[in-house]
Amino acid sequence: MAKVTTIADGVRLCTVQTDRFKSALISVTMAVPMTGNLSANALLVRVLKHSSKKYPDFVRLNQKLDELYGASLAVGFTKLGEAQQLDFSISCIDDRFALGEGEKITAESAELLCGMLFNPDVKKGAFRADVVDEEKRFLLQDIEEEINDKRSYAKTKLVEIMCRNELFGKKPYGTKEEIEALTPEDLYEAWQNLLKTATVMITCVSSDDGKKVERIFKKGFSKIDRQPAAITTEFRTRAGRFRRVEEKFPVNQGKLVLGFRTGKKSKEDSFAPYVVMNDIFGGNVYSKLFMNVREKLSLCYYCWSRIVSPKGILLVDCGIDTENEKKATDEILAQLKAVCDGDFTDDDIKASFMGMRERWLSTDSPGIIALWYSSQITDEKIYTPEERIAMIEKVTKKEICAAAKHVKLETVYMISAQEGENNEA
Amino acid sequence: MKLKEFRNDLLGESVFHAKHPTGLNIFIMPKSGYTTTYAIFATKYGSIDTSVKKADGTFETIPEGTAHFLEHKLFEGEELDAFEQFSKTGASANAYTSFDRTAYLFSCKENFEESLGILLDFVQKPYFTQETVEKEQGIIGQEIRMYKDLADWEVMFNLLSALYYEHPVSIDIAGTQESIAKINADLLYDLYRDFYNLNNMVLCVCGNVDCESVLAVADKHLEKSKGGKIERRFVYESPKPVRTLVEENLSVAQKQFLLGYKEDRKTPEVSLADELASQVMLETLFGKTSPLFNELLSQKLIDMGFYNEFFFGFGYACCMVGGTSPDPEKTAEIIRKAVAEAVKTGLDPAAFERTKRKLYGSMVKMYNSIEGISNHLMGLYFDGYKPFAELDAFRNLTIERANRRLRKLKNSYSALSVINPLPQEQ
Repeated sequence: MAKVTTIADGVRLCTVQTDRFKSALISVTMAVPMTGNLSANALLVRVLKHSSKKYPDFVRLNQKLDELYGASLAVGFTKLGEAQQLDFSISCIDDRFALGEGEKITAESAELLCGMLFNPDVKKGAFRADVVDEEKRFLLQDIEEEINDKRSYAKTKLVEIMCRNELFGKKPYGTKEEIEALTPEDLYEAWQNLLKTATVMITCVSSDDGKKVERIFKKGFSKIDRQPAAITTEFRTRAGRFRRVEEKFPVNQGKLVLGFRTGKKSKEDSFAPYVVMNDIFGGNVYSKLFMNVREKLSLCYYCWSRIVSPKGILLVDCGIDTENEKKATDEILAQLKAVCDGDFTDDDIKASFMGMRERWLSTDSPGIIALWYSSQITDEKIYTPEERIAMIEKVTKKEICAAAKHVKLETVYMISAQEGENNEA
Repeated sequence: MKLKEFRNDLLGESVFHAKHPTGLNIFIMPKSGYTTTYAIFATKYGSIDTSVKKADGTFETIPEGTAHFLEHKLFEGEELDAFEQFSKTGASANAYTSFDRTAYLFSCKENFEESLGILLDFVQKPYFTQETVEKEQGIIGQEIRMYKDLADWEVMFNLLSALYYEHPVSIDIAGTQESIAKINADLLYDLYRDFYNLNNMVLCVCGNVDCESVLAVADKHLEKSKGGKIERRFVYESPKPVRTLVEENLSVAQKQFLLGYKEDRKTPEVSLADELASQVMLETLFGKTSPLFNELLSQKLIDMGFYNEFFFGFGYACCMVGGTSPDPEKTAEIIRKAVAEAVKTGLDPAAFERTKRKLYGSMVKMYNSIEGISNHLMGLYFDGYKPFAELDAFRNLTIERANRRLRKLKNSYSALSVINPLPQEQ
């Protein structure tokens, strides 16, 4: 159902034409190596959102979005393996549902998104200083507030500790100090560099054929001397020396995160066996972690495992009473051993296949479709959900056990409750 | 069984309604081109139901958090629990409890009929033992602790406790460690019999589905139950808050706040027309294009996370506005001043129209999501509305009504909730 074409060097367009949705979604995903200026790129995506030449101030931009029936413009940055991924997207109602005659909501939204990327409000090699300062304040505040959500903070912290000597151990925005030092000129340079060197995937899910969107972006990229930078990710196949880090916070519940190396040599190395192994271990409510750590031992409300295929690591996280750390860790490792030993039935494998069929083939949302394709931005071959499921359903018990046997614990990070006013029990 | 069609030409969609002989109301919305289906089976029983009306007309008190506890425990079965059963069909199942309802749901691509059968069966077949109830106290205890560390959650419940004297909306949905300790298997069976009768419930299905298959599964799996709709107790509350400021210290980086305006509710329910009018009114006053938002932003008192919400349900309604701020008191003071001024002048008509367009867009977009639609149909039914009623209400939405809603905001009915950062041990 998706059509993928290359519209410029390193720029792919993926169009999905369907009239089953009430809205259209256009997203532009860019990937650059994590060796670049992470902080400048991260701040840049925020600045671009509010530097449209056509709608230079914040109020006018948002008024325009309201007029487009509340079109939503979103930007973000994250890590994809050892690539820094930058996202820009706009979602708007489909033209068919406009209240007036002949309103071109999708085309106007695409123009707005494209203008944001290619035609920002820049002068003499710099972005506007007031916009840069304001976005800097917001970004620094967001970073400071990471600590508010202890669960995601703990997971980030584990990766930072475990991969401290790899690019993956960096934050997708670099450091606070780097951000503080950025100038409007630095951002201009980052912008030029991004358009030139990023690998790009544009996804368009709408009721029309996407030709208009193709023309708009083709024109945008035609003026740029494209030199896409190669992106690679280091896979450490063997676990290094075990390390445990603990931090104390005045909280009610402790957070435990376990970091494992999986032995994978690349994203595609035994892709399907690892995905199934993770699902049986702790990916769902029928998995070993949920059934045992939560249901049998009542140690927690949540306990999940997640495989990060583009980096070859596996994480387990749960929220527990601080004094139960050893009990929970022992049980998690015992369940991993059970997967290694083949302590699961053919019915369990069948349940896992069915669960994944359901989840991976459920694509009744523009956002899910766009995400499926944009997450493959750094891959040469683009898989459809059906192709991935076909791979998954071929996995054997032997392969699952073999994958599990390579999974080795390397790092533990624990947030424990410190004595204080918030400890109620 | 008679099927009634509700058609909406603007969206090009239809919803079908049937009243099953067992008493259950069923709503079905087939979505052309969709490959997945979502089903939700819910009872009008939530955390605000801290009492139940008995046959003699009196109300009997129930421990806090029982609706949620029952939700967890219904997944248990005598042989296989519900998750184990769904693992054989591949459906992904879940449940939630809110202030005014408990809902059980699944989504699937294949084996829909089998999964719907499992859903209807497990919700209709309670099975609790003292042992499994005790085990659940541990799991829910962890869930309560998890929420106690979330500032967004705490700032809201603290505000509600500052606004409401009697109304149970201020109590955590899961209850407290103490209240759930009072729950036992017998109590759960009693409450189950009261609230889980099909006349007090609804089934909504949306997606790759046809009406015949839903009704066929319903015929096979639904069992006639005793009882009727459960009547809630409405107690009038003074609009004055319990206190005007409530603070808590948590392990967060910056101060967070939520300012709430309690509404003087003489009747328990807010109409759909007033709900939409309030939403547009709040967004016009506090949204990203409003002068107030931009003033607060330029004074560095807020950031992009500044939000507003019209929060309401049976017997309670309040307008909330909040975010992160270095100085919540000063921010609240500016907001209160702006509100008093707006009450005098009314809303800016151009801004009102723009916000209306935005609301329309979000209403249309909602019809993308089979989950959103199913939950929406359920909400409309429990509140006594027909499918698509919100689109009719939208057409009749005027600035006069929004201004009437605006004039309900009184600073003397408001309270401020603040979360302060707690220093961390270094």
